[in-house]
Amino acid sequence: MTTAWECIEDLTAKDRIIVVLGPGGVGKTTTSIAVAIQGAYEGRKVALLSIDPAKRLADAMNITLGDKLSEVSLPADCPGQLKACMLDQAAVFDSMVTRHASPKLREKIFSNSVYQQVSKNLGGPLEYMALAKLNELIMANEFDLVVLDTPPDTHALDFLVRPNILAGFVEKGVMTWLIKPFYLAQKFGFGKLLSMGEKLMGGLAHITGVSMLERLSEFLVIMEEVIHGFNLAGKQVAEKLRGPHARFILVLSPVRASVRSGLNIVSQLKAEGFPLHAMLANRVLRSELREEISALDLGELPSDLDQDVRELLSRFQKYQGMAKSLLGQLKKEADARWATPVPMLIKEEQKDMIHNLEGMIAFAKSLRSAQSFEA
Amino acid sequence: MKDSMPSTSTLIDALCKKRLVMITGKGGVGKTIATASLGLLAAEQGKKVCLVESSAEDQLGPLLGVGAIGHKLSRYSDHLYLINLEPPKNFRDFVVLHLGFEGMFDRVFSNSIMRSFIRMIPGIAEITLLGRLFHFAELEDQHKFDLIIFDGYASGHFLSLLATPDAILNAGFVGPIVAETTRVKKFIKDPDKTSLLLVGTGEALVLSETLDLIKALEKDFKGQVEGLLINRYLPELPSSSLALKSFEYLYHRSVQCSKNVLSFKEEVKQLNPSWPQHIYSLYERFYIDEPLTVSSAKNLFSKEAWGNL
Repeated sequence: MTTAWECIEDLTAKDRIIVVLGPGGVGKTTTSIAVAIQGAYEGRKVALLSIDPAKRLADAMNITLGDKLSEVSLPADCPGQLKACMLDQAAVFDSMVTRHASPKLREKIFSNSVYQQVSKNLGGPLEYMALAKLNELIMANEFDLVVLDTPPDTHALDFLVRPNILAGFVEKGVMTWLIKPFYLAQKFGFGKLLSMGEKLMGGLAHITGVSMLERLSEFLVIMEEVIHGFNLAGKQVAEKLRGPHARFILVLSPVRASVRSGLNIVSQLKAEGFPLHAMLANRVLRSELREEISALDLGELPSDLDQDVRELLSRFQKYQGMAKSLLGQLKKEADARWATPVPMLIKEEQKDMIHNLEGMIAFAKSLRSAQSFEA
Repeated sequence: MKDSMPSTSTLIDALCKKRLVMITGKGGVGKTIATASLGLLAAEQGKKVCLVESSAEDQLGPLLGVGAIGHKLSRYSDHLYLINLEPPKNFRDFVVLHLGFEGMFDRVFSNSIMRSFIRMIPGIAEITLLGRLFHFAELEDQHKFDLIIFDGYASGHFLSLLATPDAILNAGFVGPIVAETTRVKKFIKDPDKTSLLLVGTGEALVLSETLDLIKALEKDFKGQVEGLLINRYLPELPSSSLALKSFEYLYHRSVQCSKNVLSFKEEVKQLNPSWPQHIYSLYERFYIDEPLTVSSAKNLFSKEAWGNL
């Protein structure tokens, strides 16, 4: 059985790209930061990207919102280095435009009203941004270890399939066959070309109105170079994520809803052809409590005990049993899917909330001594 | 110190006055439990209720014991229906049902190039989702629902969902989509029709993120926040001579929970003393007895409460 020590050792080896997945509210960001800190203590130069909009931990760590990495000042005894960034959609979008669009197009793009809304106010592009930024960090070759924290909830895996969506757009010739002919026909009045594209766009214009389609196609035409840039970044990153340096971690908590989402993530990961290297069951009850409550004979409790307290203890005991079998179920499922044991580390509930860097470092260090799940 | 309580029925009554309730909060706090419980209780009061989620994997169906139902309006009881909206299918429904372009949809959108184009457009899943909520609440005339409860996204994504109509309107478009977006936005921002319910827990981290959410809603949706529901609430336990670490643990958590909620109340007051909303709570039960039923939903709702924010 892989111990926590071996597991962390493997995760923080040189040239790793770590993707941290999991349902919302299980401590995904905390785990990402902890793994990154562990890497720094291993002497690595670490970059951490968070795309979780929750800002509290980031504030505590002095991680800024934007697209620039800022240094987290770790204690002097830490041999490595940690730089981190909370991705801001608009900032990464702007920097992609600056990088990929020719100077004369840049101003046009920045002043385009569709661009302004898409880059700042609409959901969805953040996944492209994360991939583009991740690719930039990998390509820069400046870091030994790159850690990516992913968005919560059902969107956990969205960003892994984003490159396919963009590739579909670019490679199916949407620009060549649909957008450009329509744009040129509108702009220069090339008349009604009886092409397939013309008919399709005519159909779409029925719904959106010609003017919306005009603006949208103009936006896409001026964005062509940037879209190609995103597509290239997406493809490169997808290749890296399927390569030998990538490591995937699933974080979850021992409750039914979380394990249910965990099972779903496991099956999606497998279906998309990705591996899973480790699971971290976070916020598991401390072992002294687990042992005590499991062994408790409710019949032995004082007969004058408050009825509500008695019921609470009884449910607490039952929950403890459920938690164990839920984790066992997930472990069994993961082992079976990849036909190899996937280590599951048990991280016990913290007594206090982590509210500063010291707390975070203590959490990170405790990962190495985490127990492994035993059925 | 706790004020006199606004009871469960106060909450149900308030929500039933609206057409749409959108539920949000940090990931993992219990939004789905809140949605299902409120749905069961509102339906029990004779309202015709539709529960809507939009998740990669069904959550409401399994919780209510009817399994995964997917993108199909499914009957749970005479008064309670549910659906899990899948974005691509929802886009088709939006175009066909709202805009009435059935034949054209299949001609135009069955084309794979066109599908690639549509999938790429940001905000499309969000605006069609809002559009469908509006449709269920105001236009649907087969079931004539009294109340739609949306098991919303976690806070960050939820805020961008709310920002979508303005983003579309500010992009300078004109035409049918704009007319539709305008009408959807009017509905979403109408305090008589749409309200928001925030869900949190008694944990300090969760409450501090709830405070961020409240700040983010302050500008455009303040008047529409019906209240906050504290899930996994542990009422203060009677101090006891039980020599059990487990009891001490629960006791400590119960004390912490009250302390956190009370200091959260103070922070909200400082932010804006005129927030008139209530705090309600759902008891910590450690696990939900599935399937959730009307009586277990009733038992979840705490009898005591926290008074006004």
